Amino acid sequence: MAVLRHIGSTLLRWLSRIWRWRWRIFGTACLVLLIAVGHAFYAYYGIDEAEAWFGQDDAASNDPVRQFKYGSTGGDRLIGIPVGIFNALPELCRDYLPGDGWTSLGFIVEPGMSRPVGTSLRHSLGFDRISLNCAACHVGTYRATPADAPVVVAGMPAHRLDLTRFARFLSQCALDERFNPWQVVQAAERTGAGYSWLDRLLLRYVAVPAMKEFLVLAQHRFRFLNMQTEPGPGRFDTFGPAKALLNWHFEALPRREMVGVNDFPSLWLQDPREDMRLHWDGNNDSVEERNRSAAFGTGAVPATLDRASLDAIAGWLRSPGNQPPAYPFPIDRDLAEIGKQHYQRLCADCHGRDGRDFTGGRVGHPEPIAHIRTDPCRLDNYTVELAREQGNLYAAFPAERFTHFRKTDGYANMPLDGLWLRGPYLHNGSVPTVRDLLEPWSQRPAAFYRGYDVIDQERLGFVSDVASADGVEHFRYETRCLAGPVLCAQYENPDNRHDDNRCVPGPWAGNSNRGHDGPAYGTDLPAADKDAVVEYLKTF
Amino acid sequence: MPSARKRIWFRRGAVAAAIVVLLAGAGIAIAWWRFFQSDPQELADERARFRHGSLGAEVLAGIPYPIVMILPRVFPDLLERHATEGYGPAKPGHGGYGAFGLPWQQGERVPIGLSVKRLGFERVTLTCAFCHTATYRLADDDIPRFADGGPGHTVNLQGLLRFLFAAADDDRFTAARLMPEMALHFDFDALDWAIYSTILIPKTRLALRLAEGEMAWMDSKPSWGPGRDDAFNLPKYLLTRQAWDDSVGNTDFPALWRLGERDGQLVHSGGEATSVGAVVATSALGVGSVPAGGFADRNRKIEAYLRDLEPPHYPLPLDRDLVARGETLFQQSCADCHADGGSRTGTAIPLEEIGTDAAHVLTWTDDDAQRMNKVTGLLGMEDAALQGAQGYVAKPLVGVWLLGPYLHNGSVPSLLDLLTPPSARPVDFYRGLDLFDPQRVGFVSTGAKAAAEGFRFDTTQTGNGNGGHLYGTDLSPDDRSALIEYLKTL
Repeated sequence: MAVLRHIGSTLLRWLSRIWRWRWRIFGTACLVLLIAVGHAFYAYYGIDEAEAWFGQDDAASNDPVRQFKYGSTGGDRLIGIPVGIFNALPELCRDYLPGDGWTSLGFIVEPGMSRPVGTSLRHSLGFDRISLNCAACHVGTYRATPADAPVVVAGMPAHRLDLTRFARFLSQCALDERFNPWQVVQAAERTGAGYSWLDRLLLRYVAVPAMKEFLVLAQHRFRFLNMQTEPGPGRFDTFGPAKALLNWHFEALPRREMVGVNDFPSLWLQDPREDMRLHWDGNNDSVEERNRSAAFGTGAVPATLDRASLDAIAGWLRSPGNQPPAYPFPIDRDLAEIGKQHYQRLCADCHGRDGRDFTGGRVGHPEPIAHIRTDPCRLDNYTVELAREQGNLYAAFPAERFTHFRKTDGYANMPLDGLWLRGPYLHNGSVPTVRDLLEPWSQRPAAFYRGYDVIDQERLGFVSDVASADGVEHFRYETRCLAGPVLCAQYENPDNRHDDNRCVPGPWAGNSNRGHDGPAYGTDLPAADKDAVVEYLKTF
Repeated sequence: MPSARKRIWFRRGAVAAAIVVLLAGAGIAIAWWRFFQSDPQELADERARFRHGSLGAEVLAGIPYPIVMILPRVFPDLLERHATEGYGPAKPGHGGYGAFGLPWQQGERVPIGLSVKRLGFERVTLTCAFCHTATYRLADDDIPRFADGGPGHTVNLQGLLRFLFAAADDDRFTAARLMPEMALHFDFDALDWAIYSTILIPKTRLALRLAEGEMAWMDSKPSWGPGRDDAFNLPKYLLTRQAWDDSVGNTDFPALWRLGERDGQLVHSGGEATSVGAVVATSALGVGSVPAGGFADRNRKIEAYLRDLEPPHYPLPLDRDLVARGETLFQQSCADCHADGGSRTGTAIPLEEIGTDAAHVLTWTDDDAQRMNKVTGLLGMEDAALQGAQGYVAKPLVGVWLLGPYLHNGSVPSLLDLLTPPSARPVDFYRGLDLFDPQRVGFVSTGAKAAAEGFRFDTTQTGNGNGGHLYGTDLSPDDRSALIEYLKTL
């Protein structure tokens, strides 16, 4: 009895104590709960993990080419779009696309992959987010005949991708009535994305409005795209995004600096290119710096750059294995041998001894515009002002700061590795085939079609006279006004002349196919010799 | 009972005191780490030190580098307005701080004349080179070249100040707008976010607005234009706190070449200083350098560098015969005042004799100088005494081919014009172009391109008069070109 009483009184004492401390206990519990929730929230939304194929324990999972095609630059941390939304947009805003799905813009979807080549996937801020990487512009396809399946080649210019139209699509869609939180999330869920109620809330009230606001801002900053010649597939204004980041007032720029369209280059054999002047105008001679500068274009700013991934990608780009595939069709060896003689005499000093040996006195040096006389717009588009400002983009990271950008006075002489996959030719892709490039400019095609990936085995390049195929309209590339003298007279610089090697504004500015012309460039060779040179260049 | 309670309170007090002390200690440590811990600058050589070496102005005048870096891209409209005001329609209003004509080498993170030094955080200040680096090109498509110690004739200091003031007056100058822009480029931790948003951004904005108030007198005087500032009204108003008057002292940035030759001579345009050392010290004070610590030592080093600093040689071919003839003419008519060792070289030529625009001399009297000396004396700068303007100093013509526009106020665009009677000198012309004109010797200042890109300089404005210095205006055209040919060699 005494024991029971004792227990009873102890219990009572405890109960009364608990009752007295009820607010303290309640407060502590709330605090603990708050910290736990906060921690869980932070742990979940702080996860930052990109799909990767390097540095894996399981060696079989390491695949540098896959990393190049599908790895992250870090841009997805800043501008990644939740996967469901990315997948839903082509359907949601179907009428702003030329066809169905991302492939209608020239994106490549490989069998077994749920996202296009050139996209990365990162789980960050609570969502799987997708954005573009290097491979979007530097992986292409070719076919032997229209009946064949496309062969995907890493490091090849993405000559079918219309990046300008992609950017335009995003802003058109963002400004559309349909781009509202409810419809966007619903469309995303229809593509199979599974969202929790919290996800849905975050998407509706944070992510989608933020995305809309970002795209509105981006549309304004990227207005340079609509202030110059339409690039079409395989081309872009490389340094426009840098100027956009610096918030340049494009309207106030001299018009001769406004046109920056140029072809996506190939990315093979980067190691032998160290110390060469890179980019079309040779404005940088550091492969590593060029890579980081290019990463800006994918949204990877210093604070978001995925250095490990970019190192893995750069490592592959510099490895000897990163080579163009050999020409897969028959080559007439005797004819090629004749072509080799002409090549050695006329071309080797600027373009290297052959497709793998890049030695030559002027390889990788800018050829003054007064000599080369090709379209000067891209050259004028890159200015001392921009070179200077690029010098402080990575200012907080001394080891990574850009120190190699320089304004040059011409276009850099490029090695010709994998030339057969690099058409159309010249920096602005104004000449459809190698054989055409060996003609004087006036005999090169004044207009042709870009974006078809069937190889033109006779003239070397891609078939350029097919207006549409497989339901896809090809981009008609005009080097100058072809509408006849009466209609053309109403345009500025209808003949797209650039006689004093300065960019002359006009609707065709940047598209000229003049230059790289004359005896020094082989355009006066007999036709048979030109054929021989083409045959030899197939071996590159 | 009371004693037990006292003990408890005492114990609680001790614990509280310990916590306060600990917190204060941690606070002081963090404050030192984030606001004062300094790194030495990495400067390759003496030239790099002249261009980018700190003058010790971080505490008084340092602006956080991340803020400096992103202002042009947050306020592109203000940049364009203030970088082009007074210029022709084709003057570029983009390119970051380069738009203000600052000499900026490709591949460098800041223009020449800016120092970035970490004192807790990186702070940007001016160096001598900001106003004293000449930019020139020989052909239109050339990349600009820079002559250390030359006059910064393209530098639009007033435009830059007005840009910074306008930004501080703008509602976008707030953490909510600046932080995301900075975060793209800097790896900020939580403490950085806190410090920048609550202290550095508001503080910088406040400091700029205070400076704007201090400099408001600029708006009632003619514009400085590129390559000039109001050299003596600045210390008069800012340091000696004199009432704003209607004097105008707009004066070209001078060259700092071969200052060793100036020993025993008067320096500054009006002869306001009697030693190069005094000029260096007061100029350092002018950019916010604190006269303490290594102040005197640093100034001595700068002076030592400038004593032997050479201008670039004339880069174009010379006509040797013409040079020889010109030399004879120079010895006859110019050497007395302008040759090293000439009897009047480095002395002040009285206003009534030289006849050039009087405004500069009138801004700085002996009384002004005495007030200034009192200030510098209080700051412990004994060697920095100044005097009232005496007239205009006849300077040695070291590197004269790069010194255009000419006269103390830059009112005559070329040597050819200077050797022409004042009535025939251009009434207005364009400044700020860096394209060298070998015919007239000076920078291109007329023609369509100059009108499109240059700053319109009006010689009828107060302080801009182009009269006086009639020497050599009666030479025959042949003699004149001979003399000019010789002057190119100096």
